[in-house]
This record gives sequence, C-alpha cells and structure tokens, in this order.
Amino acid sequence: MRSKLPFEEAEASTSSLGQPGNVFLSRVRNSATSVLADSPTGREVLELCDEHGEARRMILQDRSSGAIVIAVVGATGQGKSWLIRQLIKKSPTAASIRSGNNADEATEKLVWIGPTPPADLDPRFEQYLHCDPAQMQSLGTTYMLVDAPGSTDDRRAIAGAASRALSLASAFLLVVRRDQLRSDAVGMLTGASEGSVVIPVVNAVRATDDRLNADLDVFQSRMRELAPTSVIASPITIDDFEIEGRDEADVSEKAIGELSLRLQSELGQLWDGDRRRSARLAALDARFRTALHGVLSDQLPGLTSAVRRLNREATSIPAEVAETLVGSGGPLRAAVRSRLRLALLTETAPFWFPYRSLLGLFNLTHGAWDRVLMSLSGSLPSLVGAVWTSTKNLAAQQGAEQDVREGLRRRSAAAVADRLGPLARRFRKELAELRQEKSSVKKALSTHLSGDDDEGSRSQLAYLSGIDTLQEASQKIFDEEVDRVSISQTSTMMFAFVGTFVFWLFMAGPIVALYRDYFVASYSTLTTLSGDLDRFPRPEFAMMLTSLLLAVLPTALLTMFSLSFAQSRSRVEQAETQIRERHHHAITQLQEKGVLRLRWDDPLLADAEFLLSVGTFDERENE
Amino acid sequence: MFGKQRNLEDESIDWPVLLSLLEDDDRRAMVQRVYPTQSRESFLSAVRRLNTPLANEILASGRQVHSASQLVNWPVVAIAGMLNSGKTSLVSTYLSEAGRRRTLRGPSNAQGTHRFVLWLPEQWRKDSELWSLLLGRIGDAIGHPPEMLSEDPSTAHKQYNNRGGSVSTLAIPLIATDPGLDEAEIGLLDCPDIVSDEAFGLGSPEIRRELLGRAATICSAFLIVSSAESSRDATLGDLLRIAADLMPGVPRMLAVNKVRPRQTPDQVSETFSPLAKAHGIDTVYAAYDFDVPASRPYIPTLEGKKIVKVRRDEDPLPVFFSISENPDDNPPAAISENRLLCALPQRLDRAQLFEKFRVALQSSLRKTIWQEGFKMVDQNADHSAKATRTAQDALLESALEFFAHRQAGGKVIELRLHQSKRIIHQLSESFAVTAPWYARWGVRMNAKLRRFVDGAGNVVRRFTPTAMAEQTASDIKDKFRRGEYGSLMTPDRLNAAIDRYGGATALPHWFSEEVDPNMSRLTEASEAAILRFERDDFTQLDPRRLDEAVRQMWSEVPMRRKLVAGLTPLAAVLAAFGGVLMIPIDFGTTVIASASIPELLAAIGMSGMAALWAGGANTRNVGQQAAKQQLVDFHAILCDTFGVDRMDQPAKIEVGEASETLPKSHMIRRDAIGPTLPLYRIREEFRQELKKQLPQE
Repeated sequence: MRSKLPFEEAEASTSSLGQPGNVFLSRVRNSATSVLADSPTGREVLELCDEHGEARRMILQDRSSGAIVIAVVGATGQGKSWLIRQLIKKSPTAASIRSGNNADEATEKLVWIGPTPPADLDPRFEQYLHCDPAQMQSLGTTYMLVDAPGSTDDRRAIAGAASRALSLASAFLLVVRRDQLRSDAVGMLTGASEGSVVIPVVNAVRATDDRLNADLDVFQSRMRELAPTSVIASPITIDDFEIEGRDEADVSEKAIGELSLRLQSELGQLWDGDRRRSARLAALDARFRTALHGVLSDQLPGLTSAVRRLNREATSIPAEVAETLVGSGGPLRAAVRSRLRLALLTETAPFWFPYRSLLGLFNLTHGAWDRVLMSLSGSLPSLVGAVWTSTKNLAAQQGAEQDVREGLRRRSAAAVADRLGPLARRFRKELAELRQEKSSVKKALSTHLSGDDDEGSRSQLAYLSGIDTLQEASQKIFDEEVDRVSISQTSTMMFAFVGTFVFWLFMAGPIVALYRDYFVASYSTLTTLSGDLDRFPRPEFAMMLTSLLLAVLPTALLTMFSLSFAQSRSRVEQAETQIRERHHHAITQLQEKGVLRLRWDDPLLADAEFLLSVGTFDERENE
Repeated sequence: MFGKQRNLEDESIDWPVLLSLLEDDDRRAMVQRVYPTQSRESFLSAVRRLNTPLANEILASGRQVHSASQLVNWPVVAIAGMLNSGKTSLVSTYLSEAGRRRTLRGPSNAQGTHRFVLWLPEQWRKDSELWSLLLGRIGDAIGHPPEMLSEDPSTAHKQYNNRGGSVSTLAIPLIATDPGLDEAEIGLLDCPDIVSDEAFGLGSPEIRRELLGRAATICSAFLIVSSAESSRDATLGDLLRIAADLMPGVPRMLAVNKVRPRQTPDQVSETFSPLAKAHGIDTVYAAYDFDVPASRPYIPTLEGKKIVKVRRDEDPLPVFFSISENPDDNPPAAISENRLLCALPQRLDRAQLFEKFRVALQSSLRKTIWQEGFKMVDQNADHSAKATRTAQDALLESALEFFAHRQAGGKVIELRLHQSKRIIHQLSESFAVTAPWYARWGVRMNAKLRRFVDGAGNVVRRFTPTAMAEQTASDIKDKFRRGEYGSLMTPDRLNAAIDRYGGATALPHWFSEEVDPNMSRLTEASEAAILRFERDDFTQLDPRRLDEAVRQMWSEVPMRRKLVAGLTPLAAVLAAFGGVLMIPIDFGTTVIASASIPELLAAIGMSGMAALWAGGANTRNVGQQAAKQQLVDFHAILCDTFGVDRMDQPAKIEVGEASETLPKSHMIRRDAIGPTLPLYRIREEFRQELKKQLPQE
C-alpha cells in the first residue's frame, strides 16, 4: 500500500492520457476471457494483454519525479555497462557497475542510477544506485540513467527485464558493437522503442575500417524505417581502446564528450511530458493491435467468418422482419375496412335517426366477419391490425394494448431467432472448437449460454430494437391513409339525409295521422272536459309494424349501400397499397437512422465481434 | 530409454526396401482415398500432395542414410556461429594461401558470408564418383544443386557475400576445393550467420535457420563459433539446439573467438561451461584477439609445430586452442600440439565419427517419416473426415431449410414433400377416387356447368366452379411465392441456405481461405442440383396407405363441414394441386416447391381438413415417409453436386418430439459440378508394415 501511493498519484495525473487505451485493453482482456476462455489462443492473448498493460503502466508512470530517464539498451555483451560507467565516472558509484564478458560481470537487473530513487522500485527486476547529480556527466538537466541487461539474453527473465527498460525511458542509447551492425536484434530494439529519442552508439570500432561510414548510413536508415515516429540521432562511434596505440581514458573522454553534446541537443527537442508519452503510447498500442490481430484474425479464420456472416445478416434482418410484421393482405384489408366503417359511423351525427342506429347495427355485424378473418390470420395480429385493435381497445381495456405490444415483441424476437439461429449455432460451434472443448462440455456451454435445454443455437441472440417507434409510425400511417380514402363529409351527410328522409317518408304518414287524431281527441277533451278515452287513437300493432318495416327496409338498403360505398374495394386497395408503400419507406428510414436495428443480446458474440475487429478498425480504440 | 534407442539405431535402415514401401500405392499403400474416387495413395505421394518440400526432404534423408556408408572416410565439419564471430577466419586456418584469398573476411556488411560454402580437399575431386556423390548430397540437403566457388578471389568474394543475389540464391551452396585440406582429409562447411536482418534482402533469420538445419544433415561434426561477449546470447543457444535436434549425437564443439586479455582462458572456460554442459559440447576452444597487443602472451606460438604449413605474419588468423578450467594448463607453453584446433582433423576418429553420423542420419530419417510425414498425412485424413462431416451436416441443414416445416423458434414440426408431378398426381387421384358422393358432385356439377355455359360471357364463367378452381390455383401460387405456405427452392435461396448453415467454412473446397466470400459462385451447382432432383425424384406415396388415409380423412369430416365442403372441395383441391404444378412454369424450371399435405390443404383454405390430416397418425405417416426419402435423396444430390462424400451412416433428425432416422438414398452417384472435398483414410496395414520396417522411437 505504501509503495502504491506514488504510483496511484501518477496514474491519476495521467489518467486522461491513458484512459482510452486502458479501456480498450480491459475490454480486450474481458472479451478474450469470455470468448477464448482457457484455450491456447486465449492464454496467448491474455499474456499479450499483461505485457501491454505493464508497458503502458510504465510509460504512464512518472517514476523519476520529473527527471528525464535515459536508458542504455542493446544485445548482450555490447558494452552498455561500460558506457554507463563513463557517464558517471566521477562518482564512486561507477565502481559498483561491472562490465565484461565473464559470467559474474553480466548485468541481470535494470539498474537505476541517479540522484533520487525511482518510485515503486521492484526489487525482483530492478536495483537503484545513488549518484550525485554533480558527479554525473552534465547534460544541462536532471536525468536518471537506466542500465538494462542484454535484450538477447538466453535467460527469459533477464530478457524480460531488458524489455521493461523500453517502456521506462523516453531517450535511449542503443549500444551496438561495430561487427553486430546488421544483427536483427538492433532492428527489434529500434522497433520496440518507437516514439522515443534513440541515439545509436557504435562500439568497438577497430583501427582500420574503410567501410564503417557506409555501414553506419545503412544502419541509420534501417532504424528510421523501422521506427518512423522515433527521433533517430546520427550514431556516435567509440573506438576499441584495447587496440594498439589507444588509451581507454582518451577514447572514453572523446566518446562521452560527443555523447553529451548529442544528448543535450536531442533532449532539447524532446516534447513536453504528455505529448511525448502519448506518441509512445500510440506506438505501443499500434504494436499491440498488430500483435493481437496477428494472433486472432489469422489463427481463427472459422470464427472470423462466422462473426462476419452474423454481421451481414444483422444489416438485412431488421427490414425483413419489420416488413413481415405489417402482415399479409387479408387481415390488413379487414382492418382498413373496419376503420372505414368506423369513420362513416363517427362522421354521422346522432341527429340522423334511425339511419345512424342502423349504420351502427350493420357495422357490428360486418365487424364480426372481419374479426373472424383477422383472428384466423395467425396466432398474433399483424402490426397494423394490432395498432387498430389497440386504439379501439384503449378506452375499454388498458391491458389489451400491453398484450398486443408484448405479442409483437415476441413475434419479432421469434423471427429474429429464426433467422439468426443457424448462424449462431455456427458461431458457437467455431467457438467450441476453438476452445477445444469435449462434447459434454460443449453441450453444457450451449445450455449455459442459451438458458435453453433443448437447443442452444436457436435461443435469443439479438433483439430488434425500435419496434415501438415503428408501431407509432405505423399507427400514424394507417390513420392518415385510411382518412385519406375514407368517405367524404358531404357524402356522409348526403347518405344520412337521404337515409333519414326515406325512413320518414314512409314512416311519417302513420305517425302524422296518429298525431292528428291524438291532437283532435286532446282538443275535444280539453274543450269539453268530457274525458272520453275512446276518442284517442289506438292503432293496431300490425299496422305499426308494417309501417316500420316498410320504412326501415329502404333505409336499411340505403345504409347497406352507404356502408359498401364507404368501404369499397377500390378504397381498401388504394389504402392498402399506400400503407404498404409508406411502411416500406418508414422502415427504410428508421433503419437508416439506426432506430430500427438489431441489438446483440449475447455478450459472447459482442465480445467475439470486438476481438476480431481489433486491428482492422482503428477507431475501435476510442470506444 | 537410452538402451532402447541404441538398439533401434544399431540396426541399419535398408533404404531401398523402405523406399519401396513408401512408394507403394497398391497393396501396402498408406492412404485409402474414399472420395471423389476410390483409389490408393502411397506414403510419398500423400506427403507430396500436402507438403512437397517435406517429401523431398524425406527422399533426401533416405538417400543420405543410404549413401552415408560410402562417405565413411570423408567427413564434413560444419562451421556455424554468431554474426561476425570469425567463422570464415576459422575455416581459413585450414586453407592454403590461395584458398584463403578466395575467402571473404571482415566485419562490414560487404564482407559477410551469405552463402553456404563447402570447402573440400583438392584430392577428393579426383575421385569422380565420390565427387558427384558429395555434390549430390549437399544439393539434396539444402535443396538446390551447388555452384562452384570461383578461383578468382574478387568473384569468389561476390559469391560469398551473395552480392547481386537474393533470398533464393542463399539456398544455392558454393563448392570449393583446396589443397590445404588434403592432409586433413575433411570437408568444411562455412555457414552464414542466422541473425542478419531481413532488411538486407538476403533472407530473414528464420530462412537462414531453416537452411542451416538442412545443411546440418551432411555434417559429421559441428564447430560453433562465438565471440567472447556472446556467452549469454540466445542465438548461440539456438545454434546449439539446431545441431542437437537435427543431428542428435553428432560431436559438437565450441570455438570462442576474439577473447580479450582481460579474460583469462580459465575465465573463458568458466563463462562458457554452463552452455557447454547444457548442450553436450565436447570441447571448448578459444582464440585471443590478435589485434590486441595485450593478447599476445595468451596466444600459442605455432613455430615449430608440425601441423602448421604456412607463415601467417601478413595475414594474421586466430589460433584456437582447447581451454582448461585449470589456469596452469593454459599458458601457451603448456599447450600441446594436439590441443590446437588445427590438429582437430588428425584427432578425429573417422570410424566413431561415421557411426555417430550414421545414427544421427537414421534418427533424423525416422523422425522425419514418423513425426512429420506420417503425422501430417494422418492428421490430414482426420481433417478430411471432419471436413466431410461438417459439409454433410451443412448440406443437410440447408436441405431441411426447404424440406422442414418449422414452428416459430425453429423446431421442426413436420417434413415437407417435394410437390413433384408424381406426388401431385397421386394426391389428386387419391382425393378424387376416395371422395364421398357429396364431394364428387362438385366435380360432376363443374363438368355439366362447363358444357352448359360454354360460349357464355366472362361474367357467367367467373362464377362457375372451374373459374373458382383457377382462382384457387393462382392463389396457391401466390401463397407459395410469399412463403405463407410451403417453400420454394431456387438456386439463390439454396445458396443463401448454404451460407446460413456453414457457408465457406462448410464448403472449404469452394472458397479456400476466403473469410467473406460471394455465394453466387455456387449458383451453377445449385441450379444443377435442383434440376437433377426435379428430374430424378421418383419418390411416390404408398398408394394403398394414401387411399386409406384420404378415405379416413373424408370420413372424419364433421357433418357441418360436409355441407360447406360438399359444394366446392374437390374441384378446389384438384385445382390447388394443379396450381402447385404450375409453379415452375411461372418461376422458371430451376425451382422446387415443397409443402406438407396439411400445408397444402391449409393453403387452399381447407384448414379443417388440414387439421384432420395433421391430427391423424396414419394420414401424417403417409406423407412423412415419402418426405424423408425425398430429403435424403436431395441431400445425396447436394453432396454429389457440391463434391462432398455422401453420408455412410443414416442421419437422425428431430421431427416434433421424435427422433427420426432417415432412410438410405436411392439416387445414383454422379460426378461433382465443381471442386470436390476429398476424403481419405489411413490404412492400418501400412502402419503395421512401417512399424516393422522402421520401428518408432
């Protein structure tokens, strides 16, 4: 805990810089754990993540309290420690740094040399040697030196410690013996230090060497090619002081003088903290993505293909499923007819008695037929039918609407599951193969994933979002289109007028005759106060019924005609065509806007998709 | 463990006999090819099919084992080592002055050795048989016939440095002879380093490692050269591992060059001893850096030594001597002649060297045949069986897409029938024959009316049952087209189904390694499959059971329905069947309509009858039996067309709650339309025979 504090502070101060990369890394880690589980590829990815995480942490951490860290790196036996000793030769610490080819002279840990110990020193891999700044070679700024073990050491732990140095420092002295200039170890180190300042130091240059300059030029250009974002300084050569006529002190003085000048000029060009770090982080992240892509995409062609196929299907499914929700011809026409009848009924004022009552009655009987048709069309009403039913039932039954919405959701989910089922099964099969699971484990996995004992592959993998929006749009389209084709106000009035007129034309005679007799009898009774009840009309029931029948029949015929007119075939067809067209348009639009789309409901698939896209889509990094 | 190995290698391998087994493609063949044609394949042909270089390697290894005995007195020592460690300098110590001039030495890029150079004694050239054998061996080992190193030093230097060459020329070995080696009677193989960066265009470290591994097989001993500072370098360990892996048991020596006076010989010995122990190195030699004046006290003088033939003052060369852990043994005065590396050829026990060489070659051949060749072919056979199963499953699933009637959620509730002419005809016959009187009336009425209204206007005709039947037929087509009932199979839909159920993964022979391929490539094959099924599907319903079933269905029709049905059904039913037959006319010939009988009845609006048919076990079975047969037949056609072997075991599918075993297909096998997915099996006879001739380690 005690040692973690400075590190945590450092993390906090640089969190904004490292955040996107950290989020990305943790997502890769989580995805790899869930998708690849304990497979060899999974372990490889996790190892890669660990290494990358550690490297990121070291770049983000400011362990030297603001001082510039200069690391001396190179293959084994190149003279790194000798160079460090020359940089601090005035200090007694120089004696503690051993160099040479004997077994006990090898550097096996990262050695920090400077005025203050670095934060968070890990004694397993690191060691600190104090050195007074006044006794270090002056570079015009405070700095710390890191002596790294050989990067090509046969012992993995030591080579690992050497690679840590590449994340710690922002400036490198890359030491290479003259006869090792074309070694690939140099190339690897250069590539790994991308984004930093690299000063090549060519060591052990012999007396006569005509081709040195040509080789140095090739060497430098190769480094620049390998690390385009690094600042590669021109190399410093150090003579082999053991050759006849040379002296170690002279060689050292000349080399260090040159080196300090080069360091001063190159360090002056270093960018400020965050920018410098962000360049190195970007280079590190890019290397990580490439490595990850290499491990995943190339090694898992089956899974890549399965995921791509699923993605392709995901773009075509929403529209197709939504189109099927609109329903087939029969129920849609029935819904349009019902709505047209309803429009005629509501437009007719109650004043038009008994035409309106007849209209209501016929409406009911017609409605019954249509409802039968709709109920036969399938277990669930189609989208438009559902809207109509829901609006109709809104006042009466609040629960019905909920039922319809749930039904639609279930139906769309079933359609999606139907389409994605085989693809999902393929995806899971590839995954199981990848994880090298035994069949029993495989079965357990599919059961676990699906929560369905029967067949995991057909379980819910994704759901269609935006159904509610589509439903609202659908209601609007339906209302508008039906209104557009519904019978006009004038016609309604005309039918109502004619219907009522015809009725009263037939019915008015007996009624007027009755009223006349009634008024005569009433007048006589009132004027004479005789009270003779026989004077009042007492019509026969048969006569009244006959009159009513005679009056209702033409009215009913007219009502039937008006109903037929209002829901004529041409109107219904016109409305249906329009509704379909507009639905198609609305679905396309909703899909374009991203409202109507397939959302993955399976974290495993989402993870697999993410993992496989790493390296191909750089923008993912910022997600 | 070691005893067993010794026993194994004590018996020498009879290469010609082994070769005849490996080449036998008849009785003792390794591979039985099951699909697309039945044939046998020899071990070598199978290996060549999968990995030609490996087959060549096996042959080369075999030849080397065979010809090794002829080379008992002509050993070759490999001089390999670290970058600029002085390999060529070491080789030069054995060469005449003229020979040394032809070698290229120095630290710069232009002085690096980038070719394998085999230095042989001049006198070996006189024995033409031996000479061609040697040339053949090195060519066999590295993979390319050798080229002579020029006598002209500057041209030879260009060859050494591979100047103007490329990665491919790195694999062409150079051969040179030198009288300096006559007395030593050994050949020296000067190897390039294995760490030069790929950026120089002369092969990546990986390629170099591979070539070194191949070259190792001609060498009876290894001398690995390292500079003093590389004791801990991973590459040095790699080099020693390559030698040990490829030529196990062959003597390995380490030569540490450019030692600085700061390091005494015993310190060098101490530094390198862990490495020597870990890799079974016989002797460690060291040579002090002659450019450093302070080295002189450590360098043994060659004056007066019998083995030294040339003066080296003008062209100094390292003097290697075996170092001892005891400091007292290392002063130049204490170093006897036989501790010098120059004396190595004289010290080599040819017989022992040859025996180790022979054992290593045999072990290498055994490993290559069993661990690489046999394993690869075996894995390939397993892979072919697995790939065939995957393809068969995918094609079955694709066929089920059209032949299975699924409920929401994907569960198969019944199988659909391909509505072929034969089936439709049977159905309409059966419905007409077994129809009760009230239904037959509809047909009679129809005929009478047609005669009566013949010549009447369209309006009248529209209301006659015939017109109603035509309307029904047209409706049926629409319903099929919209996918409300049954399913229509077109080449595009078949492609999409295959894509859904496996696509490129299931048919790798059509798409190789493509990740997101275009399925339209399958169209031709899909069309062919559909056409062939349409033409060759002779499945029919069991006539007796069909009649029984239809009769039973009529009898179960409730009275209320009988009245409704009595007026229309038969004409409508027959028309519906006719409508289905008309589908190919409307959609083109490459289309197959399939529907179960209940679906067909439901499609013509007779949902009551559909429910009756689906409800009765008897009625349901009639259609399902035929549907199963059609499914396997179509699957067999798909397998044939797409170049996949048919299933040898009957497949099982889940229909409703039951697990149904599918029958065998009646279709005759035909050739594939496009590429095929071969199926191989390893023959046990070969395995046993190989075990007998070349026992496994």
